[in-house]
Amino acid sequence: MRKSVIIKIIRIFFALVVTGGVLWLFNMNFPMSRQIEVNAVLGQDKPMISRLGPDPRLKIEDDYQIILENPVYFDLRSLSWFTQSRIEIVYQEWGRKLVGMAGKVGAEWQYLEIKPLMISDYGDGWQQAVFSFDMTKLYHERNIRRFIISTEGETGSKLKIKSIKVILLR
Amino acid sequence: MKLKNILKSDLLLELNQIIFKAAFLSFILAVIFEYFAPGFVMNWFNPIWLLLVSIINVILAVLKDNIT
Repeated sequence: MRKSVIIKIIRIFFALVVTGGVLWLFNMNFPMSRQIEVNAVLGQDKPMISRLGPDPRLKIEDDYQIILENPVYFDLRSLSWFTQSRIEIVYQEWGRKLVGMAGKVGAEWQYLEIKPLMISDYGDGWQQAVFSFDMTKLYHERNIRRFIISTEGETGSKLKIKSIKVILLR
Repeated sequence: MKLKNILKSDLLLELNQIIFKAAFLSFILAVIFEYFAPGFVMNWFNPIWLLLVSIINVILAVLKDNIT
């Protein structure tokens, strides 16, 4: 095979790789299903969803996130065309109750608190609370929106979190 | 001196240039997308890898120039 043919094939291959990459990105950001599911990795920062903070109010125990004090927050980076979000938290109350969630609506300490849409009891001690947010009402800096998880309980009480799932809807 | 022979071949230089162009163009595209829609790229992929590939290609090109 002549050298020029090999070069041509390599060139076409890389052109296809770049085009494919761009198409893949568009597919990820404009999914056909009109929704994206994001699962938080407890205790770890991920590109779309941060870990819970601040650290002194939290700890990780057996891969579960334990909330020791109120309130705790996490950040979510989502694109502007996702106008609605549904947040599902699976948790267990150890003396500390899940009161609700709040989304940051202003540059300062301004939060819009909402109650869970529904709470399902799994029967094995775990419960799932579902929250719905209008993302257009939330304040953001470079597409990063802050959410607060609000709990109440006495000192020493805990709320154990198993998972946090965010579903972004267009 | 096998490495020297490989580095001397034109095919490698061409390949080097193609990879550099593809990686750097992709990096520039990623930066533009990310500037106008933060999270468009960074939510799925860190474009710093593309810059790294570009830099490695530049280093290889310089290395080849010095050897040949």
